[in-house]
Amino acid sequence: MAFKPSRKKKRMVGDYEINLMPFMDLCCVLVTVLLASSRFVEVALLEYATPTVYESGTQGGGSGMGGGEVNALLELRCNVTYDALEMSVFNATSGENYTSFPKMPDGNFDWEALRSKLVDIKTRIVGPPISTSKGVNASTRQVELSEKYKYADGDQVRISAVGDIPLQTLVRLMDTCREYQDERGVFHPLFPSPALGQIQ
Amino acid sequence: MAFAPSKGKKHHFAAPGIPNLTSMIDIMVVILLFLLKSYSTSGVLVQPAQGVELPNSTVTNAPMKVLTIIAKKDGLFEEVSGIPGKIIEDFTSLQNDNLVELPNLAAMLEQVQQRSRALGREDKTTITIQGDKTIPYRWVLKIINTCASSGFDKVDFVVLKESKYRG
Repeated sequence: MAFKPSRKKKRMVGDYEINLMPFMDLCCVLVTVLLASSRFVEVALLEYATPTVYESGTQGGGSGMGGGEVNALLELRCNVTYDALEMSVFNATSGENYTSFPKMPDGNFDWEALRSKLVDIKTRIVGPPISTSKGVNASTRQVELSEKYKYADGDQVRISAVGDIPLQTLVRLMDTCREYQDERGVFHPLFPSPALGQIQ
Repeated sequence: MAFAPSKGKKHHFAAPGIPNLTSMIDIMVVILLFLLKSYSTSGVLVQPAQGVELPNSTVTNAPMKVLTIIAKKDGLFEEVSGIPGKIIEDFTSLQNDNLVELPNLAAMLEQVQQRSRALGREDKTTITIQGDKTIPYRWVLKIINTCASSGFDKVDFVVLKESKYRG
């Protein structure tokens, strides 16, 4: 025998709305606090340590893994003049070891061309490091890798500029010399130790 | 003759209720996520000095609070709570090509070192420069030379961080 359907009303699912007011209150407070404590301009430190400048004839400090003495100098120089970036290795003033990058038609220096040339020097002339050691940086207290190249000054670039060149150009040059990004987006060090000096 | 009020037309009264908050919550959540992502717990250790337009750089080193001097277009100043304080070197001495080092800056740095020694601390070796991006290279060299002569081997420049990722 079939049961008679109940006459009690079934509870229908109504169009209830969640009370969102507390959530909105919380959001408003959080947004205000975060906005007040946000830093929209971030500052950083460009570190410059007084470098050891190797001169021709000095010993480069130790021997490499291959047993060869590290005493040759690369003497990579970057000069900033009013109308060009000049770059040389082995103290050259002309020839294949000297390159000048004139300013572009828009008046800016050709940083990309300089970077490409530096990458070429790093890979073709300097080559990979012959030894790597770890050390703790006294100021930052972080473990840093120290690399030795076949040239004693294999990570150094001697930067000089005419007296009126603005600080921004100098900073940009140091950025360009510090590292490069390969095709895969990985950063590699170029010449991260700048030595500032007078133009020669 | 006045017409009798319509019996067919009903007057619409606004039903009491809450406004639709969904779209506003969407915006709030997006803002909240953005702010949380860019939030830093390290605090602000170094603030750009007033009247100084810092250079842009791709470095990522976090700033540290150490002895700071401010190099503006019109001279070299002591830093006092993020604003330029007493002048150390004026425009003329900074421009003077006969000066390799800056005498007033050297005297100030010597005082700092003496104060450190008097307190039994080691000599300071790091100094921070908040330099305007337009100051000339000759000023930078003079400042670095003077600092190095006074035992400050590490000279840090405060810069504005910019992305180093290209393409």
